[in-house]
Amino acid sequence: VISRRRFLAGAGGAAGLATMSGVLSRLALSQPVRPPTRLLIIHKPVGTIPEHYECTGGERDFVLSPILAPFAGLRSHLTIVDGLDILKKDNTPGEDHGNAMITFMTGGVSYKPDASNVVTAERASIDHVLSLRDDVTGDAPIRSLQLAADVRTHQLMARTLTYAGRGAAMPPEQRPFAAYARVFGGLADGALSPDELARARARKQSVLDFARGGLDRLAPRLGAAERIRLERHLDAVRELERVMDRTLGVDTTWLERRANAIDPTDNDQHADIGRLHLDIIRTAFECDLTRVATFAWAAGTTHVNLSRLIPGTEDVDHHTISHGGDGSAADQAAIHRWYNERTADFVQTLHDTPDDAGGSLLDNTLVVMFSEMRLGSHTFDGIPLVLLGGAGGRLAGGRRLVYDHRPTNDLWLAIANALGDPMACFGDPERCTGPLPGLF
Amino acid sequence: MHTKKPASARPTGDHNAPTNFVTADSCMLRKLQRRRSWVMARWSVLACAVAACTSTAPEAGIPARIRLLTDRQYVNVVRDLLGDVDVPTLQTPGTLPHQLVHDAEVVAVDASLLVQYRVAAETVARQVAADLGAFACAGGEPACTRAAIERFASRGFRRPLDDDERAELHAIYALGADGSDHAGGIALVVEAVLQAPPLLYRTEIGGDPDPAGVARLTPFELASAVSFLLYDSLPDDPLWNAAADGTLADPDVLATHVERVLATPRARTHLERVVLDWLDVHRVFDADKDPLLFPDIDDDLRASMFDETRAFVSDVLWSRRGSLRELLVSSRSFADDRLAAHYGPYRRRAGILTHASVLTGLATARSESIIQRGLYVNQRFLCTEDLGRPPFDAIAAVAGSTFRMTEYQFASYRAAHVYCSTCHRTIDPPGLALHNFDGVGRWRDLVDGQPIDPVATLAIGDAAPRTIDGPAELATALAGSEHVAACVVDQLAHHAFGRAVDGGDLELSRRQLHDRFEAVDRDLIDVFRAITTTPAFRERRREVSP
Repeated sequence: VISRRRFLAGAGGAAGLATMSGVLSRLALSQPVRPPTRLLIIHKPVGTIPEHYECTGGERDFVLSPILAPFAGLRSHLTIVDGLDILKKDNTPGEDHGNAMITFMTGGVSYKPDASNVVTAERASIDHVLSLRDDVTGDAPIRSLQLAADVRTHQLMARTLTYAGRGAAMPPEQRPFAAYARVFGGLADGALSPDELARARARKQSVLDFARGGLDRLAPRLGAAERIRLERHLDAVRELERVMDRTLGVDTTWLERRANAIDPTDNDQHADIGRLHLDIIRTAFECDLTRVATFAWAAGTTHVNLSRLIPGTEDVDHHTISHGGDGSAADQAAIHRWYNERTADFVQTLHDTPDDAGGSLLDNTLVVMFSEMRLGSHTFDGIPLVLLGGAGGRLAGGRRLVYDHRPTNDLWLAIANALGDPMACFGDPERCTGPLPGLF
Repeated sequence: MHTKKPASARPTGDHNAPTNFVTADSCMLRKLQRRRSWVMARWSVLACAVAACTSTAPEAGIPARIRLLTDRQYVNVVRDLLGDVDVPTLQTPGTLPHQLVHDAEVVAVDASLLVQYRVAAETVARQVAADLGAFACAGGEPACTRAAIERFASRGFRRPLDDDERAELHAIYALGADGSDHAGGIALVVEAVLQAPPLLYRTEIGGDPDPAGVARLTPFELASAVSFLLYDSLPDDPLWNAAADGTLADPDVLATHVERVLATPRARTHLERVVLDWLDVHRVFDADKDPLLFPDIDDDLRASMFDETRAFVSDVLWSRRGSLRELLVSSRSFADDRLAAHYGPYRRRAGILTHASVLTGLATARSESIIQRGLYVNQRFLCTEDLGRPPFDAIAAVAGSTFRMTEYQFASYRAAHVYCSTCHRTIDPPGLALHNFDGVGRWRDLVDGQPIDPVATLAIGDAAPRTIDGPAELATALAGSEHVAACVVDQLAHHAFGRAVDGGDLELSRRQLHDRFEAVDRDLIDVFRAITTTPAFRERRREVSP
């Protein structure tokens, strides 16, 4: 595992590069007062089985349910939040899973432009809103990162968590190698000498400069709407430059090898694909390449068949099982528990990774894990939701909080306020009753 | 008919309130609005006739724009430029591999896509460096190298280079060559060109606009418009030459090139693919099937199903004069032995809707789906407005009593239910007419021991509802309808223009296409020919500077 110290060693080795000077001065001059807080939102599809999910006992002495039992080792970092409702609206464009994901993430409803068949969201999602804040993102070059272990669905809305605004979906990357290349920039190679690195950096810069020139030459010939698209393209070019500078010479070959070894189309590598994505996110947090990420185990209308990963469960996709009613409750519970085991294993690695700015990575991270519905039969009151991590010393774990039908918007409002965003309401005002009390 | 939904049309019910009435009403409201917009549209046509509009009445048209290459186009472009190289799969965020329509304005390049282009460009550049081909140039002889780079980049950009581009590319070559490494210089040029905006975006900007702000596409833009429409890739040599000498601006010359390209195997393969994408035939590969109920459904059988439909579409397009009627009603069979055995001896055939590929895709893992089949016909042949989702409270309320129902029983329940029927009397009828086919496209006479009654009442467009009995009558009804014909043309035009055509701003082009489709006996291939003659294909609106 890479650490900030090794990252510095890599940066020091390339100190001859003019492009590195900014990074070095940043590290030298701005020792942060408080470690950066990271936000990771994890989606797990098609609800839960309440009889196997709901814990008993009080706020502190609760007894973990079978589905949540995998988090036992992380109990002191776990906050169970019961009683939140996704206030999904009827008769909005698109199907239920995607609609609920949109309402959870954006606090608003879905949107379908008249000239398109593609359903997206009306509003920006919470991760995007927070990633726009300098006090959240700092100078991490990737504003926010979207990854998913499985995205098989025809509906964009059912595999997208992040929206940059009305109609602006930011769907996740599923292919492991593309996810790796996205974060580690193409110049993360510990084997190159400083001299070779400098030349490689200059060559990559010439390619990006040519792209920049192409955008500059196009823009004057186009109207305002098209220029906005070119501006987004230019932002992407800038982001690539900054990622390259920050990863120059950092050794991530262990991740690259794994990314290359995985077959992203193999249903039965589901656990490995997911874990690789989560490891990429952890490493990106560690190197301060990004502070905001979303990860989805699968689309809301999941096509993942877990029967060969969880022996004894029915040999059909998880979505079909979720519509199986009472007869499939045991299978559904086994699947949800399985996902939580994998998630807990990963969260444990956040706990085991020291943050060079102090504490563990988990201490300085807020993980929000949710499902877009309560029951597989499409109900949206009382969704399964847990928080993990200390959120930079703001969140005390080891608690189970039970609310009486509060909209999920209020959760985001409390989180946004805690992270320094003074917003008075998140999402549609009609879905906003005030920050969830007693959380932070 | 296209309806702009005013904000007030959206249901505003509080989620806690009983919403059945609100949502049922809102569905009816949508239908009423649809009806009203139809009346308005007819009225405007009538008004137009009264005012003696000629066919040259201008339309608002499409603004000058750029269109990002689709993933398939990117791969085609790279291979046309560099031969049979290995190009890593791209996946533009928000798009699917077999999507018919790529709306130009909703796709933008973000960092995750830019990284994909970079990975693709680097992968291809390595291959070119290892096997220089046209770039060999005796180890870097300068004049040859310059010419090779300029030819490569200009073909990739679909127009001649400007001076800045030329100078920058030669500087990039020098940087990559770092003295004498010719292959290194070429590799860096390839990397840069394959990530360059002029390669990634098709421009539709046009030359100097007329006083009304309308600009005709330049000959090079026209060459690209034709080649991307018909090849899904770069202009071929004759198109390039006709653009270079300017003759392509002449509509007759353009028409000659369209005919020439349409006759090539490559264009034919592409147009087949477009039709298969429109019909969503690839769904057969993704549809989950319960292996206990359908033990025979494996990848080979799915491929046989797909191949049957591809052969059928090919036959319709190239041996039946592209006839939409044949597509809907023809009983010609192209099933291989495996698929023929799957269908069994009692197969009934009535066009595309009775193909196992389509029927298998429009089903759940365990059963056929009247709703999915109904929606498919409504969306692809009737252009029915999206009716939205049913109210959750209503679903929850009926779930207990409908859970164990068969598909047919549930459909009867929906038809009798005062709220459900508001929308389902539109959605379900085509599915009911197809109910003799099971979830993997096999014919049956009985379901659960009961005879099937595939009779449904179907309203096509604004025609009076009529009774249809079974798949053959469904197919014939669709094939005989002008509304269906217009709906199909609209979808192919949406594909071609990268935007919907029923918004009122392309009415002239749209009407030309509809009229001509009727005049050529609804020849699907002719739609592509006709598209190249419309103002929406040849002209762009420019922002008038204040």
